[in-house]
Parts: sequence; C-alpha cells; structure tokens
Amino acid sequence: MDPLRRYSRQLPLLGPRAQERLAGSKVVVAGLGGLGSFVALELAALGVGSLVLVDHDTVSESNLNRQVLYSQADLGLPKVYAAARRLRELRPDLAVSTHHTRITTDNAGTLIRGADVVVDALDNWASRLALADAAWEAGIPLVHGAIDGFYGQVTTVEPGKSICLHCIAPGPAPPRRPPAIVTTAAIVASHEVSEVLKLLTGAGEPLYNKLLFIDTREPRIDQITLHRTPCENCKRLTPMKDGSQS
Amino acid sequence: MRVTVRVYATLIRVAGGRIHRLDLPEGASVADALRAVSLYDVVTSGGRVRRFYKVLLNGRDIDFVGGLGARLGEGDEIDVFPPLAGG
Repeated sequence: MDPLRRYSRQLPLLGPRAQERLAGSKVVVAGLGGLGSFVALELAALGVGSLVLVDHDTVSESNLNRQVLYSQADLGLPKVYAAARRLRELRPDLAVSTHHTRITTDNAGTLIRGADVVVDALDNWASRLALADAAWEAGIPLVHGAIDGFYGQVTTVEPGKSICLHCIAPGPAPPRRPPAIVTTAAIVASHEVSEVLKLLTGAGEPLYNKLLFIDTREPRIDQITLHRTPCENCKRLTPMKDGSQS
Repeated sequence: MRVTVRVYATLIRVAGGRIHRLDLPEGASVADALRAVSLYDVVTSGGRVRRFYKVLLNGRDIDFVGGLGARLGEGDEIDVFPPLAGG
C-alpha cells in the first residue's frame, strides 16, 4: 500500500502530519450496529492506525437494512469478527482487536486502556454510562452518538473540557426497540467520526458542551449549548480549564 | 418577560412548532412555559420531568436549577428534548 496515493485526496485537507497522527492513533468503537458500522468503516478509510471493536451481538437479518459492515453470508456470526474481516479487506494494514462482549462497569476500563479516543455507538444508556465513566476516569475523550428513527444526537465529553455524559443522560426508559434506518445512522456516524478527526488532529473545535441534535427529515441540525450541573459525576470532575467548578 | 422555548424531535408536533417565543408575566416558572407550549402534561408527571425527557434552562438540567418551579427571567431559554438511546 502506498499511503501517499491512498490518502492523496484528503492530504490537501489534513496535511501529512495529521495523517501521520491518524496512523499512530488507537480508537475504540463501542457498539457495531447502525452507528458503529459506519463509524468503523469511516475511521478505517480515514487512515486511523488501530481500532478496538467491542460488541456482544451476532449478525441478524434485521441488521442488514443499515449495518453496512455485514453481508448475508455473515448471518449468525459475532459482529466483531465479521466487522474485523470487512475492515481488513478495506485496510490490510489496519490493526484490529476484537472483543465479543457486553460493556459493563467491570470491563469498560480494560477495554479502553491505551485508546486515544472512545466512540460511543452503543444502543443503551447502561453500557453507555459504564463506558463514559471509564473513559472519564482514564482521561480519554469520548464521542457520544445516539439515534432514534429520523433523529440523532452527538456530543463530545472530556474531563476538564466539557460536561460529563451524565448531565444529559435520561433515566431508565421503558423497554423499546427504536425504529432504525440507514440514512440517520450514516449521517450521525459521520458527525461522530468528524469529532474523532478533530480530536486526533487538533484541527477544529470538538463539540464540547454542545449537543448536536439532528433531524434528518427536514433536514436540520441544532446545537444545544450545555452547562455543567452539580450532578454526582461532575462532583468528581477535575476543574474546567476556565477554572469553574460544579 | 420574554422567554424562548425550543423543542426537538417528536415533541415538535405536540407543541405545534419548534421555536416558541413567549411573553410571560413576571414570576412565571418553567412549568408555566411548558404549559404555554402544551408540553407540561407530556413531559412531566407528579410535579417532575418524566424520566425520558430533558428540560434545560439556559443549558442546565432543571433538576439542578430549581426544577419545574424555577422562576424565569428576561431572555431565558428552555430546551425540551427526548434524549435518544439507539445505535
């Protein structure tokens, strides 16, 4: 593989140093459903050097309307293995590690160890908060994304720079399987990857203290400005860089 | 006293619009603003915001800034949305 040729169309945008930073970076993709499929593919295409894939699920037929990493032949396979194979086809030089497991408070810290960025592409808030807490404790930025039907949301949290994910976490929701469509997953995942790109290259301002709320039908993107609250988690935070406390 | 209520996602249809610029009497509360946009009965229960909605007053969850009874001031902004969960 010739990196100069492979990345020749984005090098004018990013520059060689940023491209090298991507190549030297390790990103955790937590959840390999609709969001995670696009996130992992885009990170591989961008040239991120190392991906850690985490998902407990297997590929089912109802995934194939939007989870573009998988094909009919993958039905029944653990998503992490099918995803790793597809990603290596795209990027033979990509370092991929796989964890076929559900994220909990017990394993989250181990799963994200050594990562530069963690991407939340999960489908439930219990795992999401376990992941976010572990990332927070480790000082690793986390890009949060979630979708429901035609709507999506994205924000980036990092100790000392933003609110924590608890500040926007809902309480336990009634069991519900939200409708899911490929268009929303693609758009929201791309915004998540844009965040990763900004975090890894230092170019641009991440969505700290801003919740991007995306309506793919109109289409419309709103930014909701967020401020820290004295939530239990924020009480454990390091002070913000501007010196403010919860 | 002028305040703005912005609503998102499925709540837009309930409230009859996305952005609502209200003129409320002095002393009005967050609850009054939610009533004015027909969202009070949807997003609250038993005097509290229902678990799966968020109501922010000037970017802060109202649970931390006085709840539904929090008094509003000139120019205040309220955001009401259902935090999403799917992936």
